[in-house]
Amino acid sequence: MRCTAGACNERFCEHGCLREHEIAVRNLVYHITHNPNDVDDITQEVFIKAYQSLASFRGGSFRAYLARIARNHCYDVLRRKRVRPETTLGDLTVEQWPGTDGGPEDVFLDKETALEVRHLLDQLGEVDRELMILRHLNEFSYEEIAEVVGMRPGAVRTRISRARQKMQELMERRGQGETPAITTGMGIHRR
Amino acid sequence: MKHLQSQQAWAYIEDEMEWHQKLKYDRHLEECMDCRRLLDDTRRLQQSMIHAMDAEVPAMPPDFHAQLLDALHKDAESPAASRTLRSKHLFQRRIRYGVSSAATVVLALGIGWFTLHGKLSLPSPTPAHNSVAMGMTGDVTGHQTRKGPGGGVSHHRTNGVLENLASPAQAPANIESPGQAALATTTVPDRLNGLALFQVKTPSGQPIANAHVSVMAGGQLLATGLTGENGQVRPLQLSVPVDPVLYPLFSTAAIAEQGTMTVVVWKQGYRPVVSYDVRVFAGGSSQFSQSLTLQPAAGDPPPILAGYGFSRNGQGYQTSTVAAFVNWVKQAVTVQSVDTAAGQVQKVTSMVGTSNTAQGPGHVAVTVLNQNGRPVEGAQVAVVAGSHISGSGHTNANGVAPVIATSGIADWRFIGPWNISNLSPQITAVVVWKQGYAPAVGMYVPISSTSPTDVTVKLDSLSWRKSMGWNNLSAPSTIAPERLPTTTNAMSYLAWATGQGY
Repeated sequence: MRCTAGACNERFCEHGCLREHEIAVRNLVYHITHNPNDVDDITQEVFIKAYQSLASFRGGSFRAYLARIARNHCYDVLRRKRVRPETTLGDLTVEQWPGTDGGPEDVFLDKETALEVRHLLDQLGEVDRELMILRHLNEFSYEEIAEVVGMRPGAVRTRISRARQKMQELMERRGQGETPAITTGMGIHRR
Repeated sequence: MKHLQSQQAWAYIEDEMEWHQKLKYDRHLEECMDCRRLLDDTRRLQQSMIHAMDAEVPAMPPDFHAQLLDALHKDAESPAASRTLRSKHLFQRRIRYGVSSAATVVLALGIGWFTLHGKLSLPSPTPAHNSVAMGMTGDVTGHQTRKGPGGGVSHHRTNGVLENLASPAQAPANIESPGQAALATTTVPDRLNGLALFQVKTPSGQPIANAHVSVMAGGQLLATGLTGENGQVRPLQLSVPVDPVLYPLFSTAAIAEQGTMTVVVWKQGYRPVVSYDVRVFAGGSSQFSQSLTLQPAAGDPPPILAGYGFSRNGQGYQTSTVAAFVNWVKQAVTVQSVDTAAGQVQKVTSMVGTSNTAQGPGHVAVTVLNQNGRPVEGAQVAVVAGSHISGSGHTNANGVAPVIATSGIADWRFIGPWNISNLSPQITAVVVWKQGYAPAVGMYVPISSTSPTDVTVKLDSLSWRKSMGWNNLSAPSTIAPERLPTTTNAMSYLAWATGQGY
């Protein structure tokens, strides 16, 4: 992984690459553990682990290497705590939704829609949700995701495709039901 | 040509389709409204999922990066530390980096070992500045194009100990930033051109004829049209601005390189729709299609907000604000009389109208100092208003550049989400750079024709940073007022204003 600042070829340089990885790792950690209180601690632990086990890195995608460690570490933490991650948001209301608040930017991050989509994401299986996080939020390639979760790239592709299909169906079903249709974007209301 | 299937639509929007296949579908898409709709739906689903997943993650503490670096240093220094990974307050603990000389030796040895093995190069703690990669040459002239944003960015923090050791080294002009090596080669136009196709229909899918469709961007009316019997407006040739205002909102350059516009649709007897659209002509596409649904309603019903990020009911905006906007558009298009029955709406209308005019020209006094507080002469200053440079200048011997500039145009979308009284034309950025220094970008700088604006910039010389052991020379200098853009935004502005890629 070359430093994105173009200044070095290091794994743990302080240029943009480390910061970029921080966001991706933290995203993954949060979405596996669903624990806002510990997400920073656990993310830090992931980096320390990755740092300590650099010798085991055999090349390839460095961010996939980090994500694999993050994933394994999160499950270790959950096992130790003997708790399952929260997989649903339960009765969380729009007001409780932890999106941004106050600024004009909110206009672009409509909480209501985000929450509705989030509820639908909950209806995917745990692994599928992880795949969607890695693919859509962290923008990993299928090959990188395969490295992270230990599956073949083809299998990853198929699962993601099915998960998307399911999301589409869920949204359409929701749009046809008594609940308000979701506007996923630019003004088309599914009914 | 077969229609797009869901899987192909994903491949299309994720740029995973073979180019020859994409070319075929591009042609097909020009004729097939159904496939365009599928593509739009797929894009919307993708964006909604990303936003939903992203919004849930708690905000990263501003000093997370610095704390992580501290922890990594600590770990390199003391292997035992790793055995207490789960110490309860590992992250919260603020580890001061005032290390003893002995510890420094251990640390240096540790880092040296890893560096030799080509795998680890822990940075030295660095001063408390936000940063932007740079590599600045060029002048503020004739900006018809801008380079695509990119490159590395990071934020750093340090104790004051190292800073106090600063040698007053002056920057030789020939030092180049490491960011120079990361210059992007992609040229992104300020505007994107293409054909926009609109269809207006009832909730049951019946076409609506004689509906007004108006396209706005940057406070200006770009095009208008009337729907025909088939509910479609003749294809509108548009030149849509790439909206730098959006940059703070997105994390990837790819999303930033997109056109934006607002579409207003209305017809007597229906609820008007205001739709804000992003990703217009994005990714090299020369077409944009949209299907809008009008709901029948009697009287003068409030409009519906639709589009990117808006909920079904336009939650987040005061109804009167949206109504005022619609009225403003109607006025601009047909010179219709505004319904003044409600005094409030009339007042709001007037404010929205005003907001679509840039403010100024006003005086902006930019003072540029180096890391030691000494004036920097010959630094270039550019005031970026919306998507053009509205004023520029060079600092004099006192480090002051008096610039006369106009503000950007306050976009109606940036009216405070809940209160129109927040409206202020501050979509203006100041960019300062000089060869041999780390540039600075400040955003939301207010410009007024009645009172001058003072902006103070501290430019770090690269030689000083180098002498201080900064591994990251490509970091932005500080600027006040302190409302800083996100790093992506800063990079984009820098790239654009300086004519360099970052």
